[in-house]
Amino acid sequence: MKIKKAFNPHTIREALEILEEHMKQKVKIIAGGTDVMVFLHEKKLDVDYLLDISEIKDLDHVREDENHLIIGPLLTHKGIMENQLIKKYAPILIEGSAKVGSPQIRNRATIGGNVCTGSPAGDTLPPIAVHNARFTLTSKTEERSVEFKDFFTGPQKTIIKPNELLTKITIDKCFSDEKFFFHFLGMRKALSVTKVSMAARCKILDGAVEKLCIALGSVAPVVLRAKETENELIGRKIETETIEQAVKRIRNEVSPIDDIRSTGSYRKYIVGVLMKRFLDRVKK
Amino acid sequence: MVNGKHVALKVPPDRRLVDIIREDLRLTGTKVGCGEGECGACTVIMDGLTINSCLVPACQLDGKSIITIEGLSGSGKMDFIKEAFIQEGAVQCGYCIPGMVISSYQIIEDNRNKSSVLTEEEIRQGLSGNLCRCTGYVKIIKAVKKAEAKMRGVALPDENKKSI
Repeated sequence: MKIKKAFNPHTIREALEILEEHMKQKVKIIAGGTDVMVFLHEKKLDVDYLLDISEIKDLDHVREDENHLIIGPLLTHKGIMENQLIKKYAPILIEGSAKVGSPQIRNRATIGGNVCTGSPAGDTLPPIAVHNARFTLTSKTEERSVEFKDFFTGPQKTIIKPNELLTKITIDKCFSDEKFFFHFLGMRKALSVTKVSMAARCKILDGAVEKLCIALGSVAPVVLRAKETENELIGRKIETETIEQAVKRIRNEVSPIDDIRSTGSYRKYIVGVLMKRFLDRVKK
Repeated sequence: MVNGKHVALKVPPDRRLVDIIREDLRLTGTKVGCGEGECGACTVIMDGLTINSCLVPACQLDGKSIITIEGLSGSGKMDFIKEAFIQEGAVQCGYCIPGMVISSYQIIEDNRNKSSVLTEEEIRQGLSGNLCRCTGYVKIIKAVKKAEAKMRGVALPDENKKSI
């Protein structure tokens, strides 16, 4: 292996200094290591330096303000599943984290890693997408906030610059009386890459859809918010006809590929099934 | 610290924990199955949590406390589990077993202060990171149930029933 050196900063500032100094070199940030170690060893990723951020203090917090939860990127999936604020204000994220890998993986893997790896099959991504996630990227000289829809540009491609660190994930708190839904298909119950997934949450007012957020995983190059389907359903009552139309609409919004896990046509079909399941649940 | 002893090694920063355990420390109980965190054969306990040792690089090991299957065995803490696995016929080729026993130990340990014993679903969930290609898991799950019951000094609820 060609790793020249590993850095173990204890503060964000230290980490940013290192990123700035080595901006032109091949630096890989590692936290839980459950993706990076596979990339290094199996995919033979060419890296000169490892930047281990796992020892940085206070990057695994969950804080709240009136309308948001602010989550530190180093929070593990185990930590997410045990967190009372997330249970109360973003229960759909717990379902996403519970799907990741296995107990051993969840003990180490972080939500920040799930975001920065940026796979369209990342299991926390549809849940945070429907919570309108915003990502804070910090460098030595700047800090910027990027919305979910602008963050991912393709499979495992994000807009993170070489001198930036993801320092916060901010999500909306759930609606009161919210109905939510998260379902995924995989080859097994654990340790399987998701074939198709859907996260959805909505609020009904006077029998009609007042607010609706739908996100789909593994059916496009990035995790998609099904905006057209959302817009079509806002203000409408959930009846048999509306459901049929929504199923058609959402199938048209996705462009899944054939790969070793599934075919595009199957995925497209399942998206409609999941949509119907969600709306049937809301109708009740 | 490994199995209660302080260890100091000079290794490349990305050397995998599983290789340090097996090759540098000659503790070969821990196995390499897939090398990418998908099978659990390399499972050890680090700072009280089960982890895949094929996914931890040396640069993250400073100050950590590791327990391997040798450590668990030496401490006597897995005697009930070992007995139950043998009695129930839960071992075939044996390759998954060190990881399986480590995970079994941890789920029983984590359940220690709860009033009820582990359900079958909880055992399946707890062992979901350990793959076995031989047994079909049934006898492993029976063994974990038996081990926990023996550790708590309680009778197994359905000892005479055929199914688990």
